[in-house]
Amino acid sequence: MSIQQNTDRIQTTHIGSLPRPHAVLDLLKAKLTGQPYDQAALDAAIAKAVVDSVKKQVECGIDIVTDGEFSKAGFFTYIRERLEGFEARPNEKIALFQQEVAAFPEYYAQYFKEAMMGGAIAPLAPVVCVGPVKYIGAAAVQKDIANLKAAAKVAGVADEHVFIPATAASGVGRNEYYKGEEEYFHAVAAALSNEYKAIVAAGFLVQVDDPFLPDIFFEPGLSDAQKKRRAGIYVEATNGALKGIPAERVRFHTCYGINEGPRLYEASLADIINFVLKINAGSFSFEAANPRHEHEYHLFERVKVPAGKVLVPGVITHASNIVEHPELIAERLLRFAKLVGRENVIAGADCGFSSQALYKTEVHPTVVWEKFKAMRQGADLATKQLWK
Amino acid sequence: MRHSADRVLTTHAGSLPRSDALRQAWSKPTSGPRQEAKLQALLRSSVSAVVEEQLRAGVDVPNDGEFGKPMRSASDLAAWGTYIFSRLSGFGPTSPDAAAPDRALAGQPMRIVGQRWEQREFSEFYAHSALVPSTASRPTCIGPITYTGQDALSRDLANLKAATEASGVKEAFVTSIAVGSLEMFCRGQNSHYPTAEAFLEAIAAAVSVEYRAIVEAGFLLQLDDPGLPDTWDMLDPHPSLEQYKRYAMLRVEALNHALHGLPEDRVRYHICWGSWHGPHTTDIPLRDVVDVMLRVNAQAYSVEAANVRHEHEYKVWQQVKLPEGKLLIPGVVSHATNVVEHPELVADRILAYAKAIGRENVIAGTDCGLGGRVHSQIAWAKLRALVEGARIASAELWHR
Repeated sequence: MSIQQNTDRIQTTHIGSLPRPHAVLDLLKAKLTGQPYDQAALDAAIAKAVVDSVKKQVECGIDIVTDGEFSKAGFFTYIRERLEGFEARPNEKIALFQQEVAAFPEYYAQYFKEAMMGGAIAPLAPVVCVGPVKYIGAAAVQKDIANLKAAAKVAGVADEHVFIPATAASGVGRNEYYKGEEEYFHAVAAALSNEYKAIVAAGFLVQVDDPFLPDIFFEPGLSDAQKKRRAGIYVEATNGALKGIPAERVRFHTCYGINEGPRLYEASLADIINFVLKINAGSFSFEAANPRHEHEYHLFERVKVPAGKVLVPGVITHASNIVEHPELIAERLLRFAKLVGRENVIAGADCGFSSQALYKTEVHPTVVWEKFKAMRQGADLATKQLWK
Repeated sequence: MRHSADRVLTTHAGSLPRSDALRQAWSKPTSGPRQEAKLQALLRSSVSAVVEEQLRAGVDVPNDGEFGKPMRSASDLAAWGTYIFSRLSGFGPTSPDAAAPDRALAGQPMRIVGQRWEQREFSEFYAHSALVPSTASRPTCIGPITYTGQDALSRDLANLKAATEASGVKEAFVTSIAVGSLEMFCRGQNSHYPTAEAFLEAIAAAVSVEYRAIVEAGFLLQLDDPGLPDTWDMLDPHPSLEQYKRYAMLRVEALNHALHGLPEDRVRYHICWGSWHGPHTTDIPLRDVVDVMLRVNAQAYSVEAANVRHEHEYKVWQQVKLPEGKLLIPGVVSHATNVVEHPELVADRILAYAKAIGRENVIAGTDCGLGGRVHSQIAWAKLRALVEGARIASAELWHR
């Protein structure tokens, strides 16, 4: 058995970000917008918020917990503070979901104003690589680790039931310095490897977030061969960064960048599964709890998951305020268990619940907790059927 | 009523997105005959266009999008109910002392209150959300109820008739509020009739005029009755399930009274659990009210089944036998999320129903009206996904 596999019941987890307490947001906002702020007060607010959150996650029935990404400005934008070699380009736009936006312009004009980066507490500029990439986040990641260690101890959670998300190399920015894409992504990955190793050395699981892998398949102007090549580079870069880390300490998460819109133009799991399964991870997390991807469990009727690998399908979603019924959650889990074995399915979420540091999060905090409780109940219902 | 004889038919729950022009025309009070004529002409052409658009999307049983039921803002969840009060006598503005209280007063009998159970459970969410059920004052019954909406009704029926004849539609439906939902919509506020029974009887007598006219015009009558499951969340003190079923049964009897003499095969019955984007954790399970629902004298039942709170309820039909000759219209796409359902998921959902009740007894529908609940472009993308999903399911069910 690898450490992530279930032994006597379906375990539960989520993807990372949770609504940050306003006490944290107020200070984080001051910091990110260049206002005067008290670093010690921010550190203390985050440390306390992490303790409270981990306790609450456990109370709501989450087995594999994290810090809610409270110290971070966003699930991928945080990394720019931890890497050298990039510069911000405030005049450039971050192009998201290009084909979607072309098809539903009015909807997205409204959506981007209120949600995602539009709701972020500080404006976010794209960053561009203009020099050698170097990891300078050792102190920051150690702070995250210390906060979680303390919180896990209070809540009585074992280290191997704690994870910390960290972005994949694809999530940083555009390259103007290295000769080619391959060289660039490998350089970023080598830097990020420091962060992954620090997390695993602390005894935790590292979750590598790669919402950008599926994007390739709907990026305008790429031929099929170019798509495959780019995806291959992402996989090799991530595997390079994971070198020396036991696969069972790694969870690989891919999704579609939070988007709560119609999502007609995005990759299917079938498009990416062969790349995903090549990652040297012990578990794979993907969206399966929203009506665009729920049917994709069928894929595992023909795709074989390698022995010892665990799937973490989303059984609750950020894309709806409705709390999933526990019986529906159980059904979703049972479908996967039937295909890949009961020990290889962990109940997860489609994506985070506060992708960026936002006051108005994708899902209201009170509803997030209720979704977690529903997930626990659903996992228990499934367990009852699977371990009779 | 058409059923899925050689493929899965498609329909929807009623409300479709209105154009800006139509919403604006409805929101200005018409000041003279010229303006009124302009509104009527716009309404006529809009109904014709929306029927055409449904056919282009592949909807088999279309309607008029409820365009004759005024929707005055882009996000309006109440047009299905508000329309009736301009078609009835006996209702007026609610005085502060007649308004339903947020909670029942201590020692008072059970009543519909202004604040839902779920609003109390998720008070922080509802304080922060812009998408809460309207707490604006609802009308009160202050005099004898009679049907006075003949003009508006004939206009709606004539508009749809012209549109369906022009496009050769075999079957179309027209929505009308159910008796119990009318009572629920006005929060049970009645200062005229001595008892709830008398109030319901008067509502039934008045709305039966509308029901009859719809059927006589050759359309299917769709009764909108979110009140059947949803009043569960609004009664205080909160009833036991047995009490609630008695309460709901009384409303169903009043409805059947209003349907008296109408052929069952011209009637379909729609329930939902309220279409606002809340957590819905206090929704009553379908299995608890399904027997009450089946007592309604309708041939088809349209039920939410495409959102995460009710998707698993296809299993109810593994235990409850759908009576011979009845049809189900499960929601296979939903108003409750902007994400467009994948056609393969739609097909999975249809197949689950077909397996439980037989392929010929399933018509693919929507959870609730899409108009006023999702962006217009998304609403149409969902209807196209519904049609595509029905095509995939049909191919599998009829082995083509």
